[in-house]
Parts: sequence; structure tokens; C-alpha cells
Amino acid sequence: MLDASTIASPGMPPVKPLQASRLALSGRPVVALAGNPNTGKSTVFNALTGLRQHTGNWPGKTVARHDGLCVSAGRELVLVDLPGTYSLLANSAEEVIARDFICFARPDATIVVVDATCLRRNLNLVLQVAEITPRVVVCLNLIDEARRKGIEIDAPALARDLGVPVVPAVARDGLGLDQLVATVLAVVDGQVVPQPVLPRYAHDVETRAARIAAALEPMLDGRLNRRWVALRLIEGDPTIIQSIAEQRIDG
Amino acid sequence: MSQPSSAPAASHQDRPQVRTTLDRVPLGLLARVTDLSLEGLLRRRLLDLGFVLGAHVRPVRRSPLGDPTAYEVMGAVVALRRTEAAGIGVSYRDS
Repeated sequence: MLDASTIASPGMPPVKPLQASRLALSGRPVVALAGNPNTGKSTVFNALTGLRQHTGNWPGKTVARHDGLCVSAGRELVLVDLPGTYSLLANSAEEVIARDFICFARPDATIVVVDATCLRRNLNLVLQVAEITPRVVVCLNLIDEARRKGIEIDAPALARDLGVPVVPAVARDGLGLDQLVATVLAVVDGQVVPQPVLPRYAHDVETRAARIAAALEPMLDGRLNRRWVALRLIEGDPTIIQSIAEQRIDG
Repeated sequence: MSQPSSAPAASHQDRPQVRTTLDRVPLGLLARVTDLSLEGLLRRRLLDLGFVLGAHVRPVRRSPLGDPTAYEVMGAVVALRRTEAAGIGVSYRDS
């Protein structure tokens, strides 16, 4: 049987990351799983992939990433477990991996697992992912622990404020995961189109970002979110230029 | 050692407000981030870890040699070197 492990198996031609989400995986939608450390991200991953989990390598990267197959209602999704990070702004190797996957492999949807007991800390990553791709689903995990701490989160209000679906869950007990997969499938199929409410920066930053983004358009050719790249360039992030250069060599 | 505060809230408000940097906050006292004097990647890193304007921070543990110190910020404990904490402006009420 052909499964996601084929991507990294010897003898296969190396898969270009830019094409990984559509060509290499025989048409299965690819869903990235992001989240802060200790949010239960791996619990979600294991619950959704069951025993079909295995480790795989993303071509061009030496650090292992976990890929698994999620089967639900006759549909198959390739789930990619990214390293747990507080940020995607590339302060560490883990953040470069997570960011490059979301940027260059362009998953069909990205789940951000957040810890309901300290939501504020986790929303930083949600906004950062949403700045790269609108196809975001928030998995509001650990709502049982939050409840024990007297924290009650209004998920529909959070979804409205963020502009993306929010699914409450207790991944350890399997609660909410069916709803999570159904929501992800709806996003993958285009039945639900998230419209993230993105941060707006100071006027001069926005003006310059727009100018740089316009200049980047012919270079990026629609493959990357140009506003996002423009903001990284303004920030002086050297790792994004390096990653783009590597993609050009690989691709 | 952190001292549990037994004073009522009213007198807490009367205590003098101290403005300093995070590395100088006594263990156990709650401080509030007022400014970040750091730039570049380190600034970005600290923001990502939760040291944003207005965030509540509490030094919870100090290593035997006094550096680094563990801080509780936004529901997680983060260890910072003294030089990093010195770049974070805070205010707290003296006890």
C-alpha cells in the first residue's frame, strides 16, 4: 500500500518541498499540526493517526518530523506533526522547520493546537500561522483542565474574533476530535473559508510592506504570501532569505 | 524564598511603586513589563516568550550562582540570563 512513508523511502526521487503537498502524496490532502510545546499536540497527532504513525524526513531537512495518516469517514489525510514552538519567527531550528513547512510545503490546512489554560500565550502562534496561510483551524485543547482552573472559554466568540474555526477538545479522552477532523475537511474542501483577522501594524510599516510586497510579486510567483515575506524582510530576518534561496536551488 | 503576602489589598496599593529592570525584582514579587530596551532577535524572542508590554512576570527561582533566573510569565516558566532580564523594564510594588 502506498502511504506517506513513500516520500522518504530510498530509491524514490527526492520530492521538492514546494510540491510535497500535492504531487508526492498521491492526492491526499496534507494537514500540518502546529502548536506551542506542551499543548497536547502529540496527543492530538497520535489520537488522529492511531498506529499509522511513523517518522519521516522532509527532503532538504535533516531533522525528523512525524507524518501520519488520518482516516476518517472514508477520507484520508496526511497529518504532519511540526515541532512545538512559541513562534514561527525563526529563533531556533525548530521554528525554521515549522515555518518552512507551512511556507513552502503549503499544507491544505494547518491545525494550531492551543492550551485553553493559558490561551493568551498560545494566540501569538495562531496569528503568526494565520499571517502565512488563511487555512487555519484552532484546536482548543485541555478545556477540562481549564474548567478545573475556573476558566471557561467562549469558543464561538473566539472563532469570530480570530476569523478561523475553533474546535474545543480534550484530546487525551478523544473528545472533540471528530469535530476537529470534520472542520479540517470542510476547510480542505473549501466548504469553510477561514478569513483570519490579521494584525495591522503601524502606518509606515504597512505602507512599506505593501510596496515591498508589490516588488516581490514577480519573484515569488504566487508561491509565498508576499505580505508575510515583506514583513520578514522589514524585520531583517536573514533565515527567510536563506530558506527562499534554498527552495530556488532545490526547485 | 518567596514570602506569601498577608497584607490586605488596600495597603498593597499604598506601597511605593518601584521602577527597575526584571533582573532586580525580588523572588516571588509580581512585576509588570513596562518597556523592552532590547533590539533585534533577542527582542523578538522575548516577545514570543510572553514578555510583552503589560505582561505580569514573577521571578520564581534563582540558580545557586544567581544566574539564570526562572520567571513565571503567561502561564509558563521561562529561564532568562541576567543580561537578558536587564533589558526588560518593569514596575512592581515594594513590600
